[in-house]
Amino acid sequence: MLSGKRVVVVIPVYNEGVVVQALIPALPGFVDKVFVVDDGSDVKVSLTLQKTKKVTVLRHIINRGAGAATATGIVAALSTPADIIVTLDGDGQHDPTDVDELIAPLLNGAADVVVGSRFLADYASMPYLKRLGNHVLNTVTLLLYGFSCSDTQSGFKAFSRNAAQAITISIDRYGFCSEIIGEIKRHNLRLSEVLVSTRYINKSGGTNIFDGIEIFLDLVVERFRK
Amino acid sequence: MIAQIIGVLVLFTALGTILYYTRIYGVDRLILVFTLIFLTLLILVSFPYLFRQQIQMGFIRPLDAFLTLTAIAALLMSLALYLRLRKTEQDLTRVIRSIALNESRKS
Repeated sequence: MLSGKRVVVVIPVYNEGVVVQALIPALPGFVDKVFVVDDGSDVKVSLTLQKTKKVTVLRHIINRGAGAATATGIVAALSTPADIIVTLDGDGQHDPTDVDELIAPLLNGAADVVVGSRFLADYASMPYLKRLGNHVLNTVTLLLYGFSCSDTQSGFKAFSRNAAQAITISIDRYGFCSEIIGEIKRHNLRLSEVLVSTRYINKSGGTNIFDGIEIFLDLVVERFRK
Repeated sequence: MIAQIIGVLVLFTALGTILYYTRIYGVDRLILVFTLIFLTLLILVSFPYLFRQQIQMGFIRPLDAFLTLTAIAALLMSLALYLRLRKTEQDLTRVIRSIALNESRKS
């Protein structure tokens, strides 16, 4: 199926060491390498994670945000002979067994970037506020970049090596997902979407109105800077 | 009328200050835009009945010009501060990233 392609998975993590511990063994066997980026967690992820040759933990000494952690993971993945780079949220909301479906359009040459979308099927189980936030950010992405997809905020993505090299992530925090969509448009990369299953975890925190303003400002600045 | 004269004099003084510092530090695009806005406002408050829209918008007194300029300056300063902060944050991220990558190479 993989025809000799090397698949590297990047998992940005912030205080989710225990979840990642369960996530890694569930990844398909064809995954060659896993980079776990500990984004300044209170308890070092390297302490909770079983060390293997396949898994490398990179640690940000202070929290820099999901965008920064993902970018660090991609830089590390590009330092290996990876052909396909998959990013996966560390909170366990994605099913690791979906990786093979996610990378299929890359393997058959139909796309350069694949987004694992939660909106291609019935998404009634998604919390209302999350759904609203996603739709708002899809619209903002469309307005700023003239390009969007059904789930711009999905952290479950797969990149070909060339796409990962072309895309620059400058936004450290939440806005980076929309920035990636803008980068896909800027570099004329082919985007494909694949339905993925999602588990919603009751987590305190999340984004508030101030985060929303920050995301918007970051996206506007990046839109006019690039 | 006296208030009008005092207001215009103060505006002229402020404009003189901007031009003085422009001579010392050079002209950048932001100062040019700001000076243009300043001159427009100066004309508007010097001749309060020049346009009908001016009266409709209540833009007659020098104080109106001050308030508008203060609002614009505050907005520009916040934006400049945000951009500077953002750049510092990005530099910090770059340093943190290189530390993380170096540490992983070492281990």
